Amino acid sequence: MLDQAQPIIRVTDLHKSYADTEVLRGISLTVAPGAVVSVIGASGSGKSTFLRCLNFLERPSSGTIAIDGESISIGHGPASSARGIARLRSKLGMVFQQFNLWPHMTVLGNVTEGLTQVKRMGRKEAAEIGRHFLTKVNLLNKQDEYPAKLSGGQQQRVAIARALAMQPKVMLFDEATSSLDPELTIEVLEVMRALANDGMTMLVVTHEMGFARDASDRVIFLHNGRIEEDGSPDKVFLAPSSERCQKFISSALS
Amino acid sequence: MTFVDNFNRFVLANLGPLFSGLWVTVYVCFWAFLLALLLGAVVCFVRLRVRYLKFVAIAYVEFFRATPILVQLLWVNYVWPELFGFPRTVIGAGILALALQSSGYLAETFRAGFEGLPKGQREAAEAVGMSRWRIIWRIELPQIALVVAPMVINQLAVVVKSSTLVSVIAIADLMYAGLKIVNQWYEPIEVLTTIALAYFVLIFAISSIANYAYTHFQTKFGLVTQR
Amino acid sequence: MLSALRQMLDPSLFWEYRVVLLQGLVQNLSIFVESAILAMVAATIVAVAQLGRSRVIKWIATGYTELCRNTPEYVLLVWVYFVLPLIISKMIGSRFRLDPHVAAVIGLGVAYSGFMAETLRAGLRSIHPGQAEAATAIGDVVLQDAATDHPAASAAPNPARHRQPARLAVQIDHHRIADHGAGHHVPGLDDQRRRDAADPALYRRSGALLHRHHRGDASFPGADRALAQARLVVT
Repeated sequence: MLDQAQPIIRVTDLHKSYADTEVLRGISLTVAPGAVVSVIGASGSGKSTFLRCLNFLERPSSGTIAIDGESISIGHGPASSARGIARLRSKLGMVFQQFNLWPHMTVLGNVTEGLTQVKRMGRKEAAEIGRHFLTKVNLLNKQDEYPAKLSGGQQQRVAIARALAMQPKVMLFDEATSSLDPELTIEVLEVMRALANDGMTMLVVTHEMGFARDASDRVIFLHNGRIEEDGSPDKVFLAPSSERCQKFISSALS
Repeated sequence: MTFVDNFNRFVLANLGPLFSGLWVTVYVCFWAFLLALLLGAVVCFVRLRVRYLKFVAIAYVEFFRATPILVQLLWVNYVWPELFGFPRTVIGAGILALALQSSGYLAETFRAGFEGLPKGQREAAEAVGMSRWRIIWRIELPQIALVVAPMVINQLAVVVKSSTLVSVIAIADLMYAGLKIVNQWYEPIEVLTTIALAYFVLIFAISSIANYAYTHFQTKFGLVTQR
Repeated sequence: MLSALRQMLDPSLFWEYRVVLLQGLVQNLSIFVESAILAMVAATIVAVAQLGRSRVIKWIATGYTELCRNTPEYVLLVWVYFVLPLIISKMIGSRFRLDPHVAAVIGLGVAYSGFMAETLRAGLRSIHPGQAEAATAIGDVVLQDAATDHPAASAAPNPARHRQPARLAVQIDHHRIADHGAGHHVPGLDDQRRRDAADPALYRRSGALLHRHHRGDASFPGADRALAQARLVVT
């Protein structure tokens, strides 16, 4: 087996507390480049919080995070530097459950906003890149529409294109299909599978057990802020060592 | 005397004073609305961001929303010069009083707009790496502007309606000109009806623009807004 | 400024003029109450008119509302006091005068009836149309039963009437199954209820079935389940 380069995500002993509740109780994780990791667990287990800590949408309480070799310091008192956070975010692309498209901009505007505002690209160059990624998600024909006119599945695909346009090293999916009707979920999952086939490193928090079983290289089961099960889909779905995981899987699949 | 006769005698003959009254109305409403936007924005900012002055902002809004416009007009015109030394002219007093009243409503409207903005909008922008000021300028403010636009335009209509009372403190607006003609000739029907129609047309136009903004923005951007 | 304040804020003035001030306050309050009543009555009439069937009446009602909302109140007051008496005197031929108090009540009442009519209209529109449908259904059933309760009708009992509840139950079931069959997610009861409530025919039939039950008329196999479903839809 080719010796992998250094892991693209390395998280050590991550803790996160809100006031007096501890949501993440020491998560440690390494993800190799190109890996597709599904994160499953009951609501409240900390899956979304963990994902959001990675790009500092939530501020972790302690631990270390390193993306693509660059680590960021997590302080108790003074905040981690804004520049460090910005560098971190430039390597991570995030897709949200509520899509969060900006309604006052067209689809193309949404996709190119990051390029023009953060990467300081010119409009023409940004538009070209934007169109390239819109074609990848099959929505080039909607580039001049406003998000309000699109279906949920289309909006989410635009959101994926928007994240991809920034050319991140890792894509984070926070329950990307949870607010979609079943028919629309399929088109988004297809895009995600294609992305996985292209070799993108993906961290997918999901309830779609089908995707976790068939499309991912690795499945992580979170419970009460700790990783209880971590292995290949076959292992986690067919022979989990933790009883809670077994219960969760059987209730989720029924 | 027929209606048309009277119309010619009292309205058309006095078009000069009536139009200059209309001009004064437009002038007063324009500056009052602008000042109200500014004051409302400031008060809203203080209410949302300046912790120690929060109660001052709340008191300001409650006071100017609860007191009637006529009372405020008289108060600003007669009491303020004694207390504060300004306003020095009746027009200044009229503009200031109208602005103060509307600024209370506008501050609340702006606040509703800010608080109604979904948090996810900001998060998506942060995830892409935008800086704080860019997020406010490119993502949050445009959306808030679109959401509050109908109510703000409606507030302009309210300013025009309240401006009819400035004739009470001797500002020579349209109402003042009309009442002067009525007092002179005591044939009020044509003059007053014409003035009422003029105000109606003006305010109806403003309300229609607000309505258009409401429906148009809702269908185009899918923003939930209020009338 | 403070010296001016001390000069101006002489509280004893309030006491000295208390009678006059209180008389004024009473005037204000009485005008307020009377015009509020007038406004509510006028607004109700206008709002109901806007729900009616005649296009002309709807048009007049809308015109009235727009007129009242887009005219300044002060202008309306002045107009009612000065112009209205003259117009009425021209119509009735003799001199007509309007007491200022009455003019104020009319003017303010009319001015605010416009706003209230809009509010009432929005409120009336927000009531789910299914409720009206259910009411008509219950009304229909009541009338139908009243007809068959007539002594002449009881001589030849109507068998169809007894089959009605069971038929309703089947129809209600069909609706729910149809929805399920479309492969929709049924994440929670609330969603299903919302979907059901959006279907006026289902609403109507559920209302009718419940009415039957109230009359003690709905005993057939599977009645309990059908009734439970109907209750979920209508509440």
